[in-house]
Amino acid sequence: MDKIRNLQAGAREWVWYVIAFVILMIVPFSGSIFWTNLLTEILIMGLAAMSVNLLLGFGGSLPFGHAAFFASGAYATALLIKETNLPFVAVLIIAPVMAAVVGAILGIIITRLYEFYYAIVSAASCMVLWTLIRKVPIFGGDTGITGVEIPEILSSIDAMYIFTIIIVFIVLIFTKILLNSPFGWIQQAIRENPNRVTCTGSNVLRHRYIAFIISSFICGIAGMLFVLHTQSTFPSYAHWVKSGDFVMICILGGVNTFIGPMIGAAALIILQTYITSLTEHWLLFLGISICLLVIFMPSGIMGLAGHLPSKIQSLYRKIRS
Amino acid sequence: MSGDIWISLLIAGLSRAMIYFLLASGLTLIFGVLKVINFAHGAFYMLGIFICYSVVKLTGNFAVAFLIIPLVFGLVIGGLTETVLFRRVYKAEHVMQLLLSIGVTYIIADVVKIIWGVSPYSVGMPEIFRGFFSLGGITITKYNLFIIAISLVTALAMFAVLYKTKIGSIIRACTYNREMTMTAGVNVSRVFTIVFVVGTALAGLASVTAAPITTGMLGMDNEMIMIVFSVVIIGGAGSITGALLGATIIGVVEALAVPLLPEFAEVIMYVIVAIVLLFKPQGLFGKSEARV
Repeated sequence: MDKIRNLQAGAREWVWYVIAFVILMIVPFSGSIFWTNLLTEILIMGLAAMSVNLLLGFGGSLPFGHAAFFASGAYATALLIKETNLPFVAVLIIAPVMAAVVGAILGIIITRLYEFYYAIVSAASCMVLWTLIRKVPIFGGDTGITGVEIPEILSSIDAMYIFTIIIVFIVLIFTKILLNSPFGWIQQAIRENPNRVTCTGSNVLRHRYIAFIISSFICGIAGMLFVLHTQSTFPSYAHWVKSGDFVMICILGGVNTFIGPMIGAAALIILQTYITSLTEHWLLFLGISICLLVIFMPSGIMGLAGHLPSKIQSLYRKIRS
Repeated sequence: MSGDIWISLLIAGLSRAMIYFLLASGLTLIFGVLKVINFAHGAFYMLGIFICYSVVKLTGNFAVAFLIIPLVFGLVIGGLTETVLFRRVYKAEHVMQLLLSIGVTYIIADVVKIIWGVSPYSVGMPEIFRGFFSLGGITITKYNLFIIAISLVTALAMFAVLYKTKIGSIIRACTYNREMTMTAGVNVSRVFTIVFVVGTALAGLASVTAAPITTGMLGMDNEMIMIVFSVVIIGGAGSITGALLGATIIGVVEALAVPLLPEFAEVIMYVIVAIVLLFKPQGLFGKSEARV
């Protein structure tokens, strides 16, 4: 029931989004290039993780292959800008659609599967793309594609940041509306019990398939934004380890919440920036953190934050008595 | 190319397949009993190869490494991972178990980097196994024969233990119904530890078997785990017979694809996985209840 109440928070929650939007819009005026850059990256990774969470937290699947769609969006953007003369707006539309097309093809097999098969096959499909990207000459091989030119208007760090915020918030609002629609309710019902959903007359397979395509589309947008931000793209974007990162971000933030992935992305990326400036053994640190997270904090930061008020209350009562 | 060369290739592919089998059998055994898919299995394999390199360098004797590493590896690495980490998440959601095993992968990858550095290592081929047999135009290296023999012995031993001994029937009982086995008075928790240790020891065995023909380097774990997953998926998770068949298919196809389409051998492998799954979503020997 907690999960349902989370979604029904309604108007009060929208106010928080408006406040978050305004605060985020102010950041560039603080003049810190470092934070503007970092926040752009956080928003993009958060968006990608959110697309994963659409299937993981709200759909009950184990999507370990979203790096494939992230890379599809990224490579489509890079190639469309470098190899064609399409207007920029057209690129913005075609690149995520390409990711959705990849999602539609891979989804045919993946959405038929459940549990570990789903996880493994989605991870394996990442590796197909990874191999193709490295071996087919047009994708630039192991060195990837660098020097992707973006329009004048987006060339400054602040402009790119504002552009990212606007796109991310549009997608967030769309996702929020989607999850509160009948489609979203069925999606969550499938998480709880696919067989019962079949009994109510919904086509579970088709529903999972459509959700998969929507999710890959959103992940494609994240990939596209990331290329516009860094102006380069590499084969490692398609590696299954990248998908693992997305899932990790979701769990860190809290899978059963809508905004969890954003919080998780912020925590992970800030931590990564800090730790890598101290030591080169980030991976060891990350591995140990994952183990601790899974064992001691499975509901993530949002879960912890949810429990905090009640914990403080009980502590307060103890002190008074 | 003439037929003889194809047969030689086939045998080389078969020996590669047997290494996949050794890895996949451990993974599928663990999955069957614990219902946990262990992403760290590839990392175990990589760690084993590096340890093998160091042991051979220290003792100068491949036989010592071959006999000791799987045993110690299973007991230490497998035992530690199961009792310290995995034991705590059996009741958690599956995504937690997967994430935990990814965490272990990261830790092992970085530990390998700290101890052995970033340069690739290789274990030299031991004296006895140098050279090859030739029958007419068909050439088989001695070591490839050795790999095939070792793996077949391992497979037979696994079947013998699983189907002819008491612990084997307990393990099989755990695969079918954990709660009922517990009710029968079996210490399921201990069975889990034993299975995890054996599975990890099999990864160690795969490492030492593969070491003389493989270059140990960082990143090999991530690629190997995907191949092994494909093997398990094709064969059907939890089935040793499936792992044997799946490994043979993947290994042979890979060996034959390399001379035909050198760039896309891996892609062909995944295409086979896709075809198998389209027709049999549970894999060739998987049980029909794919919704665990």
